[in-house]
Amino acid sequence: MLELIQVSKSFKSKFTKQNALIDISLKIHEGDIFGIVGKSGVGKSTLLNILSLQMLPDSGTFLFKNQKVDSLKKIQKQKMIDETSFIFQDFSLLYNLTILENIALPLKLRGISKEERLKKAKLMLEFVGLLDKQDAYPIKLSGGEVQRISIARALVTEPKILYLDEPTSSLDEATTLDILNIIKEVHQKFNITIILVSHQMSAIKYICTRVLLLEQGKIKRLGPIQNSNDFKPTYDLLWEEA
Amino acid sequence: MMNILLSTLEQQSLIKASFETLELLLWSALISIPLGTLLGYIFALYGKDKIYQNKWIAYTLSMIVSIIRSIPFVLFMVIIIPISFNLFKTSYGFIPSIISLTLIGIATTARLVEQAIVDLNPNIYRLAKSLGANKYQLFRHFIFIEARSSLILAYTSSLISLLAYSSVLYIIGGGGLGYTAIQIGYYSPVGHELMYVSTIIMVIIVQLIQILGNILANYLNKKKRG
Repeated sequence: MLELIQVSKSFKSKFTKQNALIDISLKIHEGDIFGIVGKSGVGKSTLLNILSLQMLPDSGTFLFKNQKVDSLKKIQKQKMIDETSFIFQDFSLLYNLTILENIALPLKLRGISKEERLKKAKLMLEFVGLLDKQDAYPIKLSGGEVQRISIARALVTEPKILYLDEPTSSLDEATTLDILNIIKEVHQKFNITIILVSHQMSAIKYICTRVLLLEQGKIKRLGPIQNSNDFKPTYDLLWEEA
Repeated sequence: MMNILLSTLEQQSLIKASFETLELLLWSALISIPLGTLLGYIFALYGKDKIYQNKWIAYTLSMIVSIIRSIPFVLFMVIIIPISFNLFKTSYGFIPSIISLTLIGIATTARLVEQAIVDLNPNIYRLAKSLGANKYQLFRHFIFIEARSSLILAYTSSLISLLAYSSVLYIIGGGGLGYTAIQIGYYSPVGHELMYVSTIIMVIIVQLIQILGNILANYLNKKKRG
């Protein structure tokens, strides 16, 4: 579904050049729950930005459904972006919109009628178990509830790929487990390819089928991972230890 | 109360002046608030290290706004007179007054709107981009929604500044409460009451604008707990 071939990316300032990703080659298959793990500053977010079409690599090839991304026209690229959804660690909701309006927002941007977008938003809200909060504002929600709403909003456009950038890193242990279980359920029910960035090896091990370990912009390990149904948060655990 | 302090003639000129002030305020605000908002949006999003960085546009417009704001308003409206004469064949009265008041209004509003947008959580741009929003949608459905109560307070401050600036427009024939307070109030040996009443009316207008602005901003702000 997604393939990177010798992709590199660097960021230049006036006097320095920082290599964020060096010679990354990987394949993500349809239906994968693909984990990207590594310490802070190793290039996880840059890789996610490239995979989610928010950023172009400096060199190498990126194939999105067998199509070269750098040769795409703007309209084709937008069509591909429309097949994806993103969930962030923080500031994922607009605080002046109600929960229902927040979930319906991506449909509003796509010009869907009010009736249809509210109907779809309510269905998703029901899926994440927060239908009773539809008229509330995000300030009244807990961190876990905000992430549930973010998941509902991400699903409302019926994406094929779901990107999650550290979705549980600011949550406590019980809420993290709750959110991971919802992500598992999303994967099973909607058959979506999921790409998860995290520095929590325990979270990766709990839900991912394949994992990439990044170290200083390079691939340290890439391959399948033995799932553990026993969620034990052991932060910054090394691959070998996990 | 007004009957005791002021003669019928003074009362009539005060009512006329109040309407003139409100008219100046209304017309200048109708033009300067949308244009000032657009400029503020450009400063906040096209400046150095901003998402749509375009130094040429942002720097040029920013310099023009800074120059307008640095010229004392009394001088600025005199400088505007030849421009008004060339464009509208009039150098005295309502038109040159509206031009100078609108230009200073655009400059003031632009800086206040820029601040309101810059104060937003910068992750709002990442969120909008990830949801596929275009530039117009970024403003309409993200920035405007999240900054709306700050924008209302910015517009409130702009309106109050416009009211203050309007008080000297009598020099170029703009009339208004500045005219009754200074020209036929202060400069007349028997007009001091008119000066005080004109000032009180201006204070009341400012208070009303501020109170209404605060109520609306507070109503639109859903970020507060409780």
